[in-house]
Order: sequence, then structure tokens, then C-alpha cells
Amino acid sequence: MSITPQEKAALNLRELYEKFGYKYYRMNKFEEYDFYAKNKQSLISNGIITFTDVNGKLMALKPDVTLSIIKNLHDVNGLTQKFYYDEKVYRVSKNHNSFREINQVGIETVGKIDNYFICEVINLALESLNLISNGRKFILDVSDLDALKNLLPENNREYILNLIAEKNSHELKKILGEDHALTKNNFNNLKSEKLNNILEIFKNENNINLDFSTVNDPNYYNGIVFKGYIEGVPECILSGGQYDKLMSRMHNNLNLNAIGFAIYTDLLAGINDENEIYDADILILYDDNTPINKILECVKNYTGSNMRVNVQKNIIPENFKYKKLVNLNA
Amino acid sequence: MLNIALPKGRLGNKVCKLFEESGFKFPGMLEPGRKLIFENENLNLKCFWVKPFDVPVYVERGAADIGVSGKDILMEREPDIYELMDLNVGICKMCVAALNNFHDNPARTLRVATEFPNIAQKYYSQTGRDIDIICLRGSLELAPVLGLSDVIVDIVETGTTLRENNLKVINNIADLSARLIANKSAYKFKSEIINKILKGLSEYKKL
Repeated sequence: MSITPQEKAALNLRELYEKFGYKYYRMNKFEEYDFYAKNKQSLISNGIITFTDVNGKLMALKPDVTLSIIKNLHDVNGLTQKFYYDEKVYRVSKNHNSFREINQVGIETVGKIDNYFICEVINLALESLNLISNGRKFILDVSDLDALKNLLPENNREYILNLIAEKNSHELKKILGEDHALTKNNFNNLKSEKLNNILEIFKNENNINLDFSTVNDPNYYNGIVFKGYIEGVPECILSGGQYDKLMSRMHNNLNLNAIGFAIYTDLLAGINDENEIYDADILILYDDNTPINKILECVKNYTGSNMRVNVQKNIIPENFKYKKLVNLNA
Repeated sequence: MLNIALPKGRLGNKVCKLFEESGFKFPGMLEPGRKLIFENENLNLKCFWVKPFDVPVYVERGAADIGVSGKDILMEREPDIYELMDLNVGICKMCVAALNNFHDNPARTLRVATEFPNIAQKYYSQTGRDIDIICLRGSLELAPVLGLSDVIVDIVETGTTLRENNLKVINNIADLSARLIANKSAYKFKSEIINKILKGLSEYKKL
């Protein structure tokens, strides 16, 4: 099959979320720029691509999906609402200061979020990693941002959070001292009843791990946060958590909580794909004297057994890589 | 296999010796030559020389699982990595320096020559000072002498070069040394060998 690992992962994930009662949320490519200007502190990326639409209104290409989903929410009789999406977002790449298109698949659960729903989302995060890891090892690091914030001193919080995210215990010791709760243990011990209760539920799950260097953007997240990694993928591929603060900023009249995560499927490019080495499985060559029905039959045979075929009239394309050559020259 | 990126040059040589003395040897690595990749087959380690400024890139993108980089480069590039250990070698400071007779006029835009524009920008943005950054690639001491800049933001080890060019340190920005860094994903899946290296290095340093 020649669909890419990213596309395959997205389809599999969508199927998974459907099974768990999540509804597909298809959104417009653009938002009014004003919307992001008002919610600037909730944005993960600083840069936004803007353009003027036919009416002269300033529009933006989405840098974020969650904001667009939750802005139209209403409280539906206390029901917990569940959505999933498969979208492209546009953000500034940190490394070369230009825009990149990023594919994101993810879920949002909104309503009265109790420990069950947190566990449901964590379970889905684990299932998602399992589904796209293709047999590789994976791990989900979880933490409790609220419990972590309680341990932070008043000053220099942003800098200290950065050091924690780096597991930079030598610099932390300089600021907080050798005996501080944040420097003593190896980032795997945090006093959080909420987190301990959750970890207790997943105690038979080997791929979940308490790591309080999991510091997702505190302007966006609070409470339980998590990040997923797959062996061989150099960056964090799944990121999420509770975002009640963001909800209350956008809907201060609705008393709603929220939790969700996003998966960056682009990172799967280059792994799990042996097809990438070959342009086709079978290269079929024919000449003027080969009967057409013989060529068609040969193609049907191979495509029928799920192989990718390329037919050429007596020419092997330059730099073309194939597993097998079939010569139908008469 | 664990891939290790070391910075080619003086600091790298010191770090390579530190690795050797801690029990992680890479035969031939310190001999002159053009070879870039060296292996320790017993421990299943592969070590390679890269340009110092590129070490965080190799590690952040997973081409190297761990690496050693100066804190100056980490501050400048701000990679998304774990900084696991201060190796306490290559100790120096990031400083602001100016001519001995420098008089700062806050009414004027301050011209800052540096190899580290991000560090300089961050430092002066805290003070709210309007600055003009001039990016140079070395021999920074020349800039104030020739009137190209008012101050320089640069690494100072002993201060000899500054003194010889009639310059002095006017502010310290940060303490620098070599740091052991790790790719965040690799650290999850290769923690056993990475922790073994961390332990080896810290035990050797305590001796």
C-alpha cells in the first residue's frame, strides 16, 4: 500500500476515537484574526498567517485547533461532550523562522471532567500510542501541573519551570538548595493525591510514567498534563492535558472543564515505512509485439495480491527502484 | 547503540579525556586525523565530532542520543532537550565588556557586537534598553577598539585578551561550562546506558 504512515495513523486514530464515542469535528481552514488577537496568551505559536478576505476582513490560518473547537461550545444539560479532529495547523518553525504546515489529530473532552474522564483520556492516549507505534516501544509521561506549581517559589517561576522541563537539577540546586522537594528526587516523585489516584488505576500499565519534568505550557494547561514518546521518534509525538483555565477565559459564564490531546502525525514520516525505499514493487516492461491483454492480465495478477505496479514500454525509468522486474517482451 | 556528539576542538578534547577516565573509551578519538566517528564496541557506544555550535541540533533532532555542549550555545539556541549534568570543564563566563574608558550614555542606542545575538537580545530586553546588535564571527575585541560597537557580549575565560586590548568586563551575564545533554525521547528508551554514563562521570569527578 502506498498511503504514508502519517495518513494511515490518522485513519486508524479516527476509527479508534469513533469507537469511544467521539464525534468528528470538521472545521473551517480560517478564523477571523481578531479571535486570535483576543486570545493571544492561549496560543502555542507566536506567528500567525494572515490575509484579507473579499470583504476586507483580516483572516488567519488556524495556528491551533482547540481554541476553534471550544469557542462555539454550549453547556448541553451537563453532558460531557467529546470531539476528535484531523486538521492542519500553521505555525512558525522555531529553527528557521518560517511557517510550517503541521498535521494534527486529537481529541477534546469538555464538560464536568471528573477522574473517570481524565482516565478515559489517558487511556485513549495510551491506545493511540500503541496504535501508531507499530510495535515500537512507547511511553506516556504524566504530571500534575497544579501540584508542581505549589512547590515553586514566588519569584522566577517561568525560569524555574524551564529548568524543570530540562531536568536541569544542577541549576535548580543553585537556586532552590540541595534539600528542596524539586531537587531531591529524580523528577519522579510529586505529592499529588489526584495523580497518585490516577496512577493507581493504571498500575498494571507499563507504558505510563510519572515525570514532573512534563511541563506543558502553563498558560494553556493546568492539572493533569502528559506527553507521549515513541522509540525512534526524536520529539514528543503526543501532548495534552487539562485546560480549565483556557475554558474559563473563553466561557466565564459556563462552569465547564476540559481535557484533550493532540498527536503530531508528521513525526511518523520516515519510520514504519519500508515502501519508501521502492518506487514500485513490480516493474513490468513490454514492447510493440506484446499483446495488450497479456499486459493487463499481468498487472491484474500483481495488483490483486496488493503489490504496486509500474508498466513501461521497454524503458526502465532513471533511478527507479523496484523489487522485481517482469519482462513481457515478445 | 548509543550515539554521542562531542564538540570538535579544545573543549571536546577535555571532555573526551573525561569520558575515557570515567571508563568510556573511544580508541583513536584523540589522535590527529580526519576520522569523525569512533566506536566502543564493548559498551555499544558510538561517538562523533561535530562543530560545537551544532551539538544541540544533533541531539534535539535525535541524530545523537546524548552530547556535550557549552552552556553558551545552549543559551543561544534554546534547544528542547534535557540538560542532565554540569561537567564542570571549560568553565568561563558570558560577559558584557567595553573599553576601559567607556562611558555609557543611556540616551543613545547601545551598539552591541556579539557572536550570540539571542543571549544579548534577552539580556538587554530585561533592562528595556534599546540596542543595535552587530553579529560578528570572532575577534570581537576589535569592534569597540575600531568604534564598530560600544560594547561586546562574549565569552571571557581569563580576561587576558580583554586586557591586552584595553577592554574590561562591565557586567556578568551567566556562568558557563560544558553540559551533558540528552534527546528527550532517547532518554526514555535508552535510560539504562545514559544513566550508566552519568554515574560513571559523576563518580570519577568526585575522586
